[in-house]
Amino acid sequence: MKIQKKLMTMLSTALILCGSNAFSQDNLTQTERNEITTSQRQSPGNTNFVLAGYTYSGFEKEGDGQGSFGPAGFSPIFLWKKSDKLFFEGEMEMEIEDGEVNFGLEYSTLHYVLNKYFTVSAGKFLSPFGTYAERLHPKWIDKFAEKPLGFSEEGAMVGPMGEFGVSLRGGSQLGNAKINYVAYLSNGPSLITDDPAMAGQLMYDNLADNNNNKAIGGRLGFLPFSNSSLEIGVSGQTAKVGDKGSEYEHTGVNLFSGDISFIHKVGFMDLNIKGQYNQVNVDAATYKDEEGNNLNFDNNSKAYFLQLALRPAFIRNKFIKNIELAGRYSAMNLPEKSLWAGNQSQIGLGLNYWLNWNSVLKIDYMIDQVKGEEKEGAINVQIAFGF
Amino acid sequence: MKKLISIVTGAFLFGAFIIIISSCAATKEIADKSSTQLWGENCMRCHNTPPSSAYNNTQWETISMHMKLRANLTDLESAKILEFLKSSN
Repeated sequence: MKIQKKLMTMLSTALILCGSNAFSQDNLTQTERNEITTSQRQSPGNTNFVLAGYTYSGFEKEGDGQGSFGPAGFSPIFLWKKSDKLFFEGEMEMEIEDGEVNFGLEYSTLHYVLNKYFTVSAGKFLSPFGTYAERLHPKWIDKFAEKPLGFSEEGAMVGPMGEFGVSLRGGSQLGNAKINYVAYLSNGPSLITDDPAMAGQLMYDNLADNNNNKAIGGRLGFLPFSNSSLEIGVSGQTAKVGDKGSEYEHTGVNLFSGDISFIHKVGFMDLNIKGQYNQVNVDAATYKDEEGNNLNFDNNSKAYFLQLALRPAFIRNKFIKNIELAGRYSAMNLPEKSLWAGNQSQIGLGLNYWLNWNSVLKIDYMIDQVKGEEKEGAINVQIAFGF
Repeated sequence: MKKLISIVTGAFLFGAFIIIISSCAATKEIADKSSTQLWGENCMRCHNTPPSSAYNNTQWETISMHMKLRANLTDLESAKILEFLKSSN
């Protein structure tokens, strides 16, 4: 009985308190009440999510061939900041090219911030082999519609664009200069041996490792000037690339890359220079050609590009300040005696118009030269939006 | 034995690297840089500088972490750029 009485008293007190609260809220004006509701609705919470990414579409015409609209793509990037230490980033890739729809997972990386100098990451991440894959490949950042020779998944690749593994990264001041660093362990590339036409070539989409060895790699970037205008980077990776249990199990590869970035204000212009050199050296091995004969060659490949862009960003005319001129030279040399040999170079001239800070219309004229063949021109038009 | 020597050498170099970067503080010139200056200098290394109005303050917190990792910005740079973007919104 006593307990019931106590409960009744507590309930009555609670009702009075709620009532007084309700009464006090009733004293608020409608505007004040709306403001409270709005601020509650806009409260960001502890987990912050942003949907970013980019989309593009275009038109291309090669040589005397018929021009065609495309490719078109859409790459949403999902960013989750769970706390000051926990972060996730993932990018999906969807593209329509030559009548086919391609889906891909560009990266899916979980990060944990250890301290102000180091962040440890795991998952599929953009390769810190040079800077093109990590920083320059998104269509609204790349000054050209097409990737440089040797950097595109559509042709022969000289160096990886992505890794599957773990990494440790960060950046630090060194007096007035700066350094940034990444070290990683990943599945690494795998060696193609079962297809004679491609024998000796590396496949970089090694999502399930083909042997027990893990690739070790890293990049060190150095920014000598206090205004961060110049960055020079060196990257390397070493790995065993043959299938476990095969005669190629102990075949290794050493990859090397050097990159440069320089931005500078020249009068009323912004000057932007980017470059990267990739070299891939695979250990000597004997492959079989299509008739079953032994095939030996020096399995060394290289690809590089140097790009220059000028934009009159500091003049008053709103139309002219958004125009950018770009030039790029890229080349790729593949092993001479292999069945996938090839020496190719490309000169690209681009006229870009910036619609806003992350949306651009590009008109490119590309001149391709394959060794022993005639030069061929191509026109690419592309519009790209970052969001 | 060769593998062990490589591991010990690697561990030693890594330890030395950590000691060096931990002991290198920013100079006064760098520490005194305004957040606006850092925003202009660092974003331009890869892409055009975004206006602060491109995202709201909560979104900037997430995007600045994304950029810190992508460009390996220092902790000081990242914090100051975020401060500028939020204060300009």
